[in-house]
Amino acid sequence: MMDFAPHENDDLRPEVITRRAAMAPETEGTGETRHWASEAVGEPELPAVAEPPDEAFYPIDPRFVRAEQLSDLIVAGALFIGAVIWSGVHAFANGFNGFFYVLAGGSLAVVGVTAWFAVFWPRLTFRYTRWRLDESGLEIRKGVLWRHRIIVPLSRVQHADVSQGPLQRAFGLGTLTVHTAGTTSASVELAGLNHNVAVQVRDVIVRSRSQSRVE
Amino acid sequence: MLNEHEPELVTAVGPGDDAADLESALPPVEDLPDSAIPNQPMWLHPSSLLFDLISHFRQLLIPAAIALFSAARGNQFWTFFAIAMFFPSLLHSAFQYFTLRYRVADGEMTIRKGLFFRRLRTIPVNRIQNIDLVQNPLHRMLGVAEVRVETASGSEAEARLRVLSMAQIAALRHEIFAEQQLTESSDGTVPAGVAAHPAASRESETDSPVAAVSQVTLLSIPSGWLVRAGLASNRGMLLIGVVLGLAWQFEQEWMFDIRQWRRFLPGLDGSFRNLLLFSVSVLGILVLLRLFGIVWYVLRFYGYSLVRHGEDLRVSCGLFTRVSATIPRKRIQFISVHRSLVGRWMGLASVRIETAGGGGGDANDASAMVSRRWFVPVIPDDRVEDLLYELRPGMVGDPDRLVWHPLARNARWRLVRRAMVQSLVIAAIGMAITRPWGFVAGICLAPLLVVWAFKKSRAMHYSRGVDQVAFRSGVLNRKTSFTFFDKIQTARLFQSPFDRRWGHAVLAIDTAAAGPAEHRIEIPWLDATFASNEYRRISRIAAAHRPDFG
Repeated sequence: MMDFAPHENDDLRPEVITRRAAMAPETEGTGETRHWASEAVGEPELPAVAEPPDEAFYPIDPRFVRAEQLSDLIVAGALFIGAVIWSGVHAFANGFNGFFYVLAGGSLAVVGVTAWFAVFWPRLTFRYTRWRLDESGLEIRKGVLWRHRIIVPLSRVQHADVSQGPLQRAFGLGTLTVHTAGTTSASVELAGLNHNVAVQVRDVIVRSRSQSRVE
Repeated sequence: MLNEHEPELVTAVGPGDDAADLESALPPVEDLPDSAIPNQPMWLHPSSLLFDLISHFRQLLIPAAIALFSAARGNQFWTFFAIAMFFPSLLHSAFQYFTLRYRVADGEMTIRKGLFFRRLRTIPVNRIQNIDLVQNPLHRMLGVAEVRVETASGSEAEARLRVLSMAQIAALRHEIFAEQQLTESSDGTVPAGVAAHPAASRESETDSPVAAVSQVTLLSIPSGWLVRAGLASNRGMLLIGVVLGLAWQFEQEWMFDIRQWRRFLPGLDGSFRNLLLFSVSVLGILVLLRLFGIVWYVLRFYGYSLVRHGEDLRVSCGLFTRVSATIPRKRIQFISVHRSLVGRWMGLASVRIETAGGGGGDANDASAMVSRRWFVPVIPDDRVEDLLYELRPGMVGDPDRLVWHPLARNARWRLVRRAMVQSLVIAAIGMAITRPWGFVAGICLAPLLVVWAFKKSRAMHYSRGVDQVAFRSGVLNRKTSFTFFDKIQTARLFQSPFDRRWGHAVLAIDTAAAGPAEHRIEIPWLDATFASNEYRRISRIAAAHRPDFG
């Protein structure tokens, strides 16, 4: 089985996924048959599905935190250098007047807040980013304050790809992007996966799609 | 009220002779000259030059108007500028005409254009979903029409041929549908992603009388309905925009100086005259706006007919500019029924549809506009359900027969609180502008906003059926939208920090629909547990349905 699967029973093979989807008790009677209006009144009674806890999902790669902190600190560093140059030029031109202290203090404060966020925010992002692949499809949870959840059924995936920036490459991370034919969420991104995992997940998604096509 | 001249819902033949059925105006295939058959590279009709130029001019209208005004004031530069703009477009049109060739052969439609930078577009014929036609009076005088070739992909038409003669169009259709049958019979398979031979049914109905496909007129709209719809609509607001735009072009003082206008009035005096003047002009403007709405509706939708040929829906309408568009039923992703306030008083509704691709957002594209955004511009309320049933067999369009779920119980309090905050903000701003009265006005607004919030929260409902998901909302302009499990792409659940505090969540469903219905299924203020349950169920059911992009 896939080496990244934390649960023994989570079989990610596409044939298993499609079989599970076909057998899912919730979907009985909603398959290919079209119901005519006289029967279609109301809604099919489905049992309530308890919202699974975050533990039922995979986290992303912990190295994501370091990579993200580094990239954010680079931004903070750039801001710091900019602030130093600006203040220096100002001091050189006008001497150390009152405005210099305002400028230097203000930009230091901005840099400080940025650096603080750079250190602490990626940890939260890591904690709240979760994903899993099951009979409904690829499910992603993300967002610290504004929380998003999305399910992309595998049969709706048009194509999927994995991308890697230089920093991500250094940390062995990859971003999985799943494209659907939709409009508002035409492409769904999952950043911070282990690159190997991202590639495997992509392959599973693409294979399950080509299988369901052959049928 | 509407029953007196209500046409039969199901009639065997299309609309009367005066109706705008463009397809019936096409010459029969046997009479076509060989020169019209596109098995070798074909030119456009020579009048294309003219129409291309006209379309260029339409884009140049505003610069030209500016040039004209400046020239009238003695600024010659702009005149030269306008002339200088004219020649490139003439050149471009000529270039376009002399380099463009189209051809249908070997299962492909090819369009080649350009001389230095050659562009070759190849469209496999069995991907072609439909061929839409647009014909304005000038087109009709010359016996030509604009052709749009649509495939299932993209938000734009795959190819646009401006313009072809009617003989060319008939031959093109014949070739394409003949090729489609040929490729299907030769290898027996349809490429993946294409709904089973989309245009095959059309082929038999246009060309061979043997296998006649069931042809059902779903709706034809008498002019009386159009007049009523025009009365109910706010299309006249467009006119205000145009007038304001024109006023901007003219000298503003000249337009808005009331004293100038006063000269044209009889010599009454005093406040009574002013009052009279005011009320008469307001009344006049109102009448004008309604009149404009009526004229717009009649011009655009005169002789409207919606016919179902097998699996295809064909719309044709228009008084001067005739449009004929075909929409395969399978391509419908989203159906939206709109009922405006005045429309409800008259018992009228309108139906919009959304398809994957073929957007309809482009207001300049007459055929896309009519076939999506104004799919059914007006229909009596009691016939909506039957029509929806024809658009999507098996769907339940009658709101009374669906199980509607309201918003979370405390949603209205959240909305009311928001309304109160809003009115306080307005009051604060008002106070900053005019000291006591702005504040009073803001506070007086509070009850209105609260009532509005109550009504708004009561109007929103969600429903899930066997095959469909529905969402309705709107206080004055009520919208009810439907989508179907085989069209659903993704389900989303969203919670802002405020949502978490109130125990609410937003449930959103994404389809491939391109947007002209202006009513996305994104339901706010649902109970969080309910919403997350529905989110999970919807995605499970959708995953179990084979996707059908049509």
